[in-house]
Amino acid sequence: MMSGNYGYGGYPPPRYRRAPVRPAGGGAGTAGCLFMLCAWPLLWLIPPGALVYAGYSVYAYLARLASAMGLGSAPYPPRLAPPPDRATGSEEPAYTHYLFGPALADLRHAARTALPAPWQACRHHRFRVLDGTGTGNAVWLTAPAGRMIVMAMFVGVIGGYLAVVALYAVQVAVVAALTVVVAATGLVLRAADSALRRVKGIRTSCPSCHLRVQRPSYECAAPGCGRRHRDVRPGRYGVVRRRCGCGALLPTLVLMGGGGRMRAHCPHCAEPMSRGVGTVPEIVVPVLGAATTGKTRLMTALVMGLVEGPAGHGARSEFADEQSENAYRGLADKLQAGVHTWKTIRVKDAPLRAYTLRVLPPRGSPRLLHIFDAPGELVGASELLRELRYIKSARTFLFTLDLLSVDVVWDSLPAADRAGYARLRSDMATDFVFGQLLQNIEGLGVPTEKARLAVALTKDDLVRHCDALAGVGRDSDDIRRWLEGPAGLDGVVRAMRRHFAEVRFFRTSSWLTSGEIDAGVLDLSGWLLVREGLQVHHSP
Amino acid sequence: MQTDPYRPWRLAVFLVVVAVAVLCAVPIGLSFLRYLASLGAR
Repeated sequence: MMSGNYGYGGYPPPRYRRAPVRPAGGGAGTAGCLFMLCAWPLLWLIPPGALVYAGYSVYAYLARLASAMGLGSAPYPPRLAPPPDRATGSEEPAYTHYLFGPALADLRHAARTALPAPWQACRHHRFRVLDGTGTGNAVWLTAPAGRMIVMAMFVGVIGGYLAVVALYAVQVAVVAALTVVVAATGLVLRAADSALRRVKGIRTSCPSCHLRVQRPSYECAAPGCGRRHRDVRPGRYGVVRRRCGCGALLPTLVLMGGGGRMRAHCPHCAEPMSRGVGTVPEIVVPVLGAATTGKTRLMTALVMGLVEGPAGHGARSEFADEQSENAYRGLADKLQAGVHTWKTIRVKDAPLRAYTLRVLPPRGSPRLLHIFDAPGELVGASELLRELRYIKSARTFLFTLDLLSVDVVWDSLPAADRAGYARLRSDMATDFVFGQLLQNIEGLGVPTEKARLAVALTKDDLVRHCDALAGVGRDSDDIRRWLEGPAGLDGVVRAMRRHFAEVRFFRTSSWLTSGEIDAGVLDLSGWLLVREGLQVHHSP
Repeated sequence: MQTDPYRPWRLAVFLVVVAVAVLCAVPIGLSFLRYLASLGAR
């Protein structure tokens, strides 16, 4: 039964009720006819109006796009996370290249803010047009004109929107094409960098921890920055240059001359590496021998000859890092003053650092020369000797043999000299020391059959006039014959010649004579440089 | 205040988009003018 409740709401719901129909009148129909009559001649407004609004839509989009891309007077770019201050995980303290991240963020931001711009701008116009033309005395004329304008606007905005979508697609295509081109360029440059490194034979070792370094970390060269970049090669942070978090531009192609301005650090121990590391081939020369055989003095004399004297044989040498220069200055003063140097003692856990020089030959490419001074006590102990990992990179070894430790020489000295030189004499047997060294060099995987050995007979100045050395020349063969014969070291010499591709003997003195470096040291340095492939004025 | 590090790239991309818009708008506009001229001739 019907409840008789026909109101809205409540339960049960009201039954279908027919909407009241207004009584038909002739006014609306007449107005519609009049409207159509007046509007018909205004149809011509639609094409130019549509074109104007299409253009306006494109303009509104471009204006909003400029703002969305951080351009113009009211920039509103997308928020991007700033680079970290320190390299963490796969992140570097550098801005990601625009095309490898921010471009995508810009596209998303433009889709959100710029794409609706035509519709938003024209909606506002629509209301203004309708309000402005819907009232007044001549409404019979303005209202149809307003309707025509809105219609033109509708057509124009649709056309403009299509054009804007096409422009957005153009932007996507441009960004995609640039990304492909830049990524390909980066890969090519990266491959070229690696190939050039291989062709030049560049293998980098840390002068502090002696580990092989594939890629040094580089410190930003901007004053007060100090951010370290672990991998500066062309990649997502830049192809030719990258922008550090501080805003400075850093080169990515270290090998092509970009690395000179940045300071390199070892990625393993974080110690500073030499200037130019990773850009030029490196030469590692370990100076090995028993304690008090004069390794440190010989090394200092060698470096002095290279840096300040004629030991470069035409090659110019300079210190490649501050540590090398500081260490050298202390020892060079002693050498020049003619006083003894202290025995090299390894401080617990402190790295054994090399003297590193940048050698620029008269012809050919420069080299980094690392000369390592191994403390004598390490040489005597096999388990400690293995810590000298830099040996693995060496192909030329310098072995010091104290002439005072040769019995025949010692015995031929006057008693007064023996008393004076007793504390300078190395007390370790040469054959034992060399045996230990050989065992460990081979144990570290060095192919000694391809390596060279320079044997420096040290302290020649003290014994040069003794009877045991009478008639022994400075020529390598003369020295070898003397060692094999009267010196009684034939076993050691045989082992040297059996295991190494080339063995050369030198009589050296690390004392300066009238400020001049000993000829044996000069000869030794010339031989080392020539054998390592440097084109210097020396004939070995 | 640090400047936008991506400004050169953004400007380049934006200018390319503007250039494309202009290059497309010129023939469309000319066609329309020709259309209007033909209407006037009738």
